[in-house]
Amino acid sequence: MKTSRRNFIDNLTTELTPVNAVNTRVSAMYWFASAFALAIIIFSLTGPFRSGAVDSLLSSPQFFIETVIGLIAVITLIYTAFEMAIPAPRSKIRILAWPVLILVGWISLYLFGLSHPALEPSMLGKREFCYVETFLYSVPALLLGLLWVKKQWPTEPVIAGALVGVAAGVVPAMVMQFACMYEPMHILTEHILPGLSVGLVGALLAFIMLKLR
Amino acid sequence: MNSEIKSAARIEDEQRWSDLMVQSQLGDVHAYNQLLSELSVVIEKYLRANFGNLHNLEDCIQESLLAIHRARHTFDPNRLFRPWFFTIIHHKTIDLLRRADTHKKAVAAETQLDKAESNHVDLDRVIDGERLLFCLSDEQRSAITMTKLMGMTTNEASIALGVTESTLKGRLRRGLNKIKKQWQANE
Repeated sequence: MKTSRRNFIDNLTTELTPVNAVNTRVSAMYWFASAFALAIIIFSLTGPFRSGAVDSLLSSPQFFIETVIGLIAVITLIYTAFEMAIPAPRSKIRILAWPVLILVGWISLYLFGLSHPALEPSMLGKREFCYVETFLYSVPALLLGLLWVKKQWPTEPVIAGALVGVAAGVVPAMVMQFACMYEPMHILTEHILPGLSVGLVGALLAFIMLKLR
Repeated sequence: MNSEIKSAARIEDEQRWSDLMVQSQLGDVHAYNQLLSELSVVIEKYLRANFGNLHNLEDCIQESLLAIHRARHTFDPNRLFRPWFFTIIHHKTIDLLRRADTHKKAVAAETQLDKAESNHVDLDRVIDGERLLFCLSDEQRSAITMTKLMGMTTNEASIALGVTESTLKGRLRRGLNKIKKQWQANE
């Protein structure tokens, strides 16, 4: 072995500090809890929640399913994003299949809701600029997720960033179910679409932030 | 018989490297030194097989070691070490390939010079081997390097490259045929 390499290894060894091995599941759960806590706090500070929205969870099984599938979509999206920040040989199609399928399933529930809405459509609780709010309120969770990904070793940074972005965008889109009016078309265009568009921001930020690793 | 020995050695390496990395994560200096020393040899072999007579080979090895150092917290002891390690090296290799493109002509000229200056048979063989690898496509070269030089199974290599095992075998077969033809043409 060359002397320069020997010295290099010795230097790396000297700098060695104990590290905690990452646990993607635990990290995903922390992010999930933090993202929803942040979103709920921001929503509470900026306006009231729709009256009777929480009760609708019990009265309408369809609304309950929409909410649960949405939560599962957020968890799988962020878990996949964090998994992509861990070096491992993987097929992109295989790892993206579940989060994408669940996300599509969640959106499909609202498409189905266009003809069979879970709740009686009404303007009750409407927020004037809900589409802007959805977009803006996703920023803290987006940055939190990207910082976590940056601390790891993402092999597909842009995809990971897009997944973090979509997950971060879906969180306020879901809280909007309780904080804004219920009408499937409105939800699709004013809550879900802005939420999904955060994925593009996430991909772009990841490209800038993580390519410079 | 030979494949059984290789397989046993692979399992032994896997277990030892995994244990050493776990100890390193806890701050064991000696374990870390041993691990990096062993891995540097593997990286050197991998880079030589892929790039041949790189003028900055030592820099590339150290860059790869640095990547492992920075990513050491991402190794999960519940998962296999080799896929983690080779993914990092594979991604570093892609970066190096991009850079190598610009240096390819310079490296080729250097190789010619080396050959002209030396009559050593073994060295000529090494250079010829590297040239044969250069005549392959990136996909075929990766397949051959991983399976024939790094000792990975076709299944491991196919996972590392993100393709099906049958695709990998196809690349391997085409690559080996190409080498064979090139070899015959040279002779």
